[in-house]
Amino acid sequence: MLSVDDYFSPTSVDLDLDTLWQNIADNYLTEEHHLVKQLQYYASISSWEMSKTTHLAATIVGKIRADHHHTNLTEAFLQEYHLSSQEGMMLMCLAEALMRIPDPETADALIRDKLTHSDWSSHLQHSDSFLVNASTWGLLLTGRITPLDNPPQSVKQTIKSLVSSLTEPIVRKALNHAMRLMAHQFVMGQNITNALQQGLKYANDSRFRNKPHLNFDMLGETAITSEAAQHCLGTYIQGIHHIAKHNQQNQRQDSLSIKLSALHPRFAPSQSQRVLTELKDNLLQLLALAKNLNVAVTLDAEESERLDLSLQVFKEVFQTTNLMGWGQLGVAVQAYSKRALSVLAWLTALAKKHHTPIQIRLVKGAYWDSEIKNSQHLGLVNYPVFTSKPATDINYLCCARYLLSGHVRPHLQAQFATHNAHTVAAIEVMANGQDIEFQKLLGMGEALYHHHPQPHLRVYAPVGSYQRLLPYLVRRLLENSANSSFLSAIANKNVPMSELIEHPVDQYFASHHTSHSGFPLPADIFGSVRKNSVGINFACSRTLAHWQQRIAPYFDEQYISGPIIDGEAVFLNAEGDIHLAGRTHKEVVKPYQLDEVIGKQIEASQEDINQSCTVALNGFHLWSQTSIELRASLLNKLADKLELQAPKLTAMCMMEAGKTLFDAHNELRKAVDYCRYYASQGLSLFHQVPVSMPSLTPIHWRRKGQGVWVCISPCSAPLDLFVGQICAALVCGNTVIAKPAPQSSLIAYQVIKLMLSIGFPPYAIQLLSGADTVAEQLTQQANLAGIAVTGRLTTAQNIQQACYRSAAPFAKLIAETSGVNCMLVDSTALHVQVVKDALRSAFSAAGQRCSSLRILCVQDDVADSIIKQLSDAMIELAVGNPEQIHQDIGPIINKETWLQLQQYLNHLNNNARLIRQTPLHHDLNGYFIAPSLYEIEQISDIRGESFGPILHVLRYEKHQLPNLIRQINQMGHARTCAIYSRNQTTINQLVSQLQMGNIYVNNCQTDAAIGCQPFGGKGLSGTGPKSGGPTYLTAFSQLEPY
Amino acid sequence: MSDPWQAAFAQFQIWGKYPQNQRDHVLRSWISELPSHIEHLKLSSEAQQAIDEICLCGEYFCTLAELNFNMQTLTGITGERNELHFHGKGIFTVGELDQTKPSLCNFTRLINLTVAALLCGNSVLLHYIHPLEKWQKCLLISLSKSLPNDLLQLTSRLDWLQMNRHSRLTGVAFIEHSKPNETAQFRRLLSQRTGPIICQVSVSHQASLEQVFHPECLLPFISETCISQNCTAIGGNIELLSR
Repeated sequence: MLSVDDYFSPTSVDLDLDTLWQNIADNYLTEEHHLVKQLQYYASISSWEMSKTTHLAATIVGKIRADHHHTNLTEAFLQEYHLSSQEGMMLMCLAEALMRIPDPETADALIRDKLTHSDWSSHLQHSDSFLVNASTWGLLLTGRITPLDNPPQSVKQTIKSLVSSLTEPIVRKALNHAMRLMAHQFVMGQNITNALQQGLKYANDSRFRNKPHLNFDMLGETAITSEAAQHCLGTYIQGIHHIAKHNQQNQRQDSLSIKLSALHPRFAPSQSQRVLTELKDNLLQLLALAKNLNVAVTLDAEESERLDLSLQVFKEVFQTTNLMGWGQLGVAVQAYSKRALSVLAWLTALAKKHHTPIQIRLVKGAYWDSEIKNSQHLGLVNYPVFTSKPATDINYLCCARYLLSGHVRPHLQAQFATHNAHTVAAIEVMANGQDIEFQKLLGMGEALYHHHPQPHLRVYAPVGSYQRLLPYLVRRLLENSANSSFLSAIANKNVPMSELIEHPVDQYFASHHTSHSGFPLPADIFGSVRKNSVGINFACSRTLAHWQQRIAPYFDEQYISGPIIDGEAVFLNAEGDIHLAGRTHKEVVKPYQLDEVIGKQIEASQEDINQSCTVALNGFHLWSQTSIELRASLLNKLADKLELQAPKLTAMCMMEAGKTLFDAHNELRKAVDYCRYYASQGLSLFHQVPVSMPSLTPIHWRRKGQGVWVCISPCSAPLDLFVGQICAALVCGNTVIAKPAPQSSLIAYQVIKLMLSIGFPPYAIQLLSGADTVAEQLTQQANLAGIAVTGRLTTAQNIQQACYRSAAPFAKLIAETSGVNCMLVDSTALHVQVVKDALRSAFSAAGQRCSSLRILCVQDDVADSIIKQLSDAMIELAVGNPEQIHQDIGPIINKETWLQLQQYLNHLNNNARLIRQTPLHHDLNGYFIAPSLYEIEQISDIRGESFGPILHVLRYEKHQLPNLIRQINQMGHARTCAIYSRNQTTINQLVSQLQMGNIYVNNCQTDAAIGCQPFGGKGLSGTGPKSGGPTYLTAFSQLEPY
Repeated sequence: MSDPWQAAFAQFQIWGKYPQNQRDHVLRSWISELPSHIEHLKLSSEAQQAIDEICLCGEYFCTLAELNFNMQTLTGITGERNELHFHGKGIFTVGELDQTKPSLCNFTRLINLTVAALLCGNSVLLHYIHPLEKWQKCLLISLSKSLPNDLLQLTSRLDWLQMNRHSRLTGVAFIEHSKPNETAQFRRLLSQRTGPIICQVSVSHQASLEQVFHPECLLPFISETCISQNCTAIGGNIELLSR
């Protein structure tokens, strides 16, 4: 791995491109503090430079603070309503959502929700800006109907009375207008023609001593449909034509920014092959046009998981002969990314190799919060971005120095995007008189560049409808109004000048003395209680390739499963050979390749069942006498071992259960999390001193196991629920007889072998493989303490009845059954988010999870738009052999379910309206079901549980929502429900009315995190307690008085 | 009588959503006022002992509920807020399997089970066929009056077995029969029900009070809901950046 010093060596430009590419991957999740220590020298190379920078920064800040007139509305607004205030947050939410709401009723409700719950009076007379000083956002906007200089009663009262039924239409109109005003600050025009006209006026404004150039950004988020991608391509082409003409007519050098994810509906690492083929042609067409018309183009930076792919696409187009020597193609590089410097080094070498300079826009980065959340969710070894603002600033300065270095300048032409006076000062000092270009966002940093004009300034100017602006606007507002941002700080008079001009190196080292003094690493988010499971960064092409290599050998092996009793595989003879005489067995095939046998499953006999019960019963006393520390340590050991065996178990999960690599690995991670969570919970529970009933004779309690537990797990979660159930029972001191689903017993067999190998005593855990009849026979055995079953409701009911056929006392039953899960979407929801999450919730793991989405309920006002996007996005799903990395959806796990689903589809074809069915390849040889979307009229059109990729969509009118909730509750399947809304009042109401085990708000409903999102339903969906939650282990243990 | 199930369900939907503290408060108030409701009655020492036991258990249940069933915030991923809420399951029937003769001990335990179920947010159909003594009537009336209407309903007319076949039932709390076979038979009957698998809380009349009402005795009456809210920018909230 190259060091930071290596990049600054003039010979670095001659390094091999492949080496530099590898180095980008090396830095993906590199350790932050170590990297910052390397970077610090280049951010503050000498005390002379530092003091000169500080002096210049102080001058700029002094001028800005002294000028009370130049602050624009946006900046004044941000000053008053920064993010640390509740009101600031409310307004951000309102700004993000209001304009996309088509129906007045919902818009009014959102306004009520956001405006009436905050303390607006605290903002009175705070701002120097007349507009903001109108007192509050609400009063500002409704100023025409309420005299501003004579506020009646309190502001809170005023707002409450304003937002009443009589004045709602006026308030709504006013707020919409205000949001447009706000948006206008950030958007140059609603189309390119308009934007160019406005841009010309803007550039000619007297506030700029030197006319700034403009860089137009066609607003729009990631495309999820081909239609959206095509539309975007057309917009870009049109944009290039117009900008070129405009440049020619007005002697300007305005340019264009392109977002690659807007040009392809599947711009994701798993689809790299498809993207590189399909996107390349479109992009080349676009860039050839730009070159011919001499319009500079910059590829925008996006989420870190897309960086690899973006750079690959960039390289592909950059090295085509068409674009050689052009020099007007550029890339945005994010300084909050730990890979920024290595990316720059790679780009330098690329530019040098092709004798064509590359334009670099150095930005700080705008996806910080989702990067942090995503990294923790994925359990990455570290973050791809710096976790503190000073670290990002240090990296920015270091990258700036690199870009200004003599050996780099001929190859990379830098544009520094910043609104921070200290950064501007530092770069100017570094540049030492060299020509440099700065960039700013439209609507931001006005005062900075007014008081410190630059000869070369480019303004990033969004173009598009105000509705499209929303996600962009929120990101910008967040970025710039976050407490740590310069704009927020300079506006805050309580922040002293010394703080504003403090060098980021000093800031960083004042608070970061060690590697982990800042944000906890993804592995450490649960503190000292337990480790988060290790995830794989599949977004990194090198990691992905490496992983594919690691799992590949396991696809060629043959596996076996059969009863393991008292530590022995009963079907093996003394020599270890398989001995099948008299035993029922069957071959196991891949559900996606029916002619490929992957192993053999040997069914447990009645004798095996009896024997396993005897061993487990006899072993209980011994096992329950072991210390909780020992049992917990074994669980932790199992977690570590599962992680070590991840490639094999992941491959098996793919083969036997037909899961994709991502789903299979996710399953493994959950199994690991279950082990660690129950280990920590067990320790805490067994050490807890329960509160006894006050009585004359004090009672002391000892916690202990209950006896033999039978754990019956489903095929939909062959690893995580299998491991979760048995670990919960074992850690409490019970012995366990595990009965995995017949469709996933090979994996179960591997897990039990693993458990035995790490020291679980043979009497503690027995495995009985085989058909459902084995479970029924097993549960009729006498003297069982409990049965934990996860599966269909009918399975659980059969098991309960079987259990009650035995002699009393009967075993305790914990049943986790499936649900008919809903997603409720109102018209405030962000459509793209809804569509993405609906696709994932309904179709990932082929819709076979008990939490999978079944009914998407959409408010009629936005239903057409959402259904269309969803339907179009479904065309882009890849269904097929999950061993191929680009496949999104694998097969149904077994033939019976597949046949049931086919029948159910026939039922739907006669009783519902088919909207979309994802096309399937004709040569598939497995239990594949095409992801299907049907529109239904009412909830009752659904027939029971269907474990497959079938999504029903139901429209509702706003006034029908209470009735819809009633119908959902009446179904009795109380498993999960997701709510997508921006209205907290609506959310609270729905949360209180829905009778569900798990409710997700603006969050995907299928990825319950162990320990954070205890999982389980009620009514027809289960008995409780929730697995992965604080009460689960109490069901497996008992308190004994002594 | 109007449909007791419908009334019980309607009340459950309101009572079950009360915060735990509020339910604790209602029941603690009843316990503290109970002596004043019966002070005009002449009580036998057995009756006084039974009342004391009911009060002791009630206080204990409230303490347990306060400790365990207030909303918990669960540590997790930055940018998500995860909360675990505890509330009632629905309608519980409370009764005794051996109804041949009245027993003060059974009556007391039935009241204890009723209080436990109510405290956790359920509504209760208490089945008791024997004639009530005055103090028992007073006790039940005062309990019922301290609660929302129809949350607790006493019935002697409905058939116990029929009651436990009702589709709206979510749980049964009962005193076991002295003959184990009878108890087993009852459990088998419950397992034959279609629909959800219902919760069974059984109390052996042989066990001591402390053993029956142990520190985890309320858990079967409780249902959990996990609420996970996305707090990142595009998720609709913006808490992460303001930290």
